[in-house]
Amino acid sequence: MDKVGQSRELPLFPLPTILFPGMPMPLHIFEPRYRKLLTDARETDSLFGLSYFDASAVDSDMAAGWAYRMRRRDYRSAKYYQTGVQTFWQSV
Amino acid sequence: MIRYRVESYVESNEPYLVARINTFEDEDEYDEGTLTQTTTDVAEMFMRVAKAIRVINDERGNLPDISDVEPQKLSFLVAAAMELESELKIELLEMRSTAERLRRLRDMLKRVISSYEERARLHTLAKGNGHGGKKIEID
Repeated sequence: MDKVGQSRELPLFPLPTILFPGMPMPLHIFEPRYRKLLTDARETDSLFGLSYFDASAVDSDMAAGWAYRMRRRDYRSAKYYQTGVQTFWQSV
Repeated sequence: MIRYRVESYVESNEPYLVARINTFEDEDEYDEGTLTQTTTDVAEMFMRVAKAIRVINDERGNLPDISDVEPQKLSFLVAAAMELESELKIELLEMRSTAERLRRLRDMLKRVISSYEERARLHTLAKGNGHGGKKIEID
């Protein structure tokens, strides 16, 4: 996904905070469905979307976000625990 | 740094959400001179706030040099670091103009900079606890 204006399907990782491109992304991925998201992303083009989601809002929607492509070093630097995967990835 | 707008959610058999998205990026800026000036202003103001916060929190160590950070990256860095309402942060994330994002941030920094610097000054005075040998001036 390198072109502007491209339409495609993208798995979404909802977050309670707003992360900006280029900033560190400390993630603790413990829910089985999001661990599956990471596994699936790894098996395809390593892309997933990071969207802000406010669970307390009545009509919260994930209107916008940004896509992150995991790199080999991300997989290597992630720490795998029984309680999930901890990462401190630096986006580019 | 490819951003996207969610067009619709996709029905899938996956346990996580899948959306159809459309990607966008910041548009090219035609007034490079103004962009450069705004970038410099934001970098300087942000460093002043960061220095004041460091004093207030009794932190030591050097702050990273951000004077050469390119405009778009700087705009995201400052937007991420500032304490803002979620709606405002989303607005900054969705903007398609680096210059406009920087202008908004410059306005916000302008509003808070004197408050942070005053707090830092008072914090430094308070730490002296009357032994600094200087007359304390409190506005």
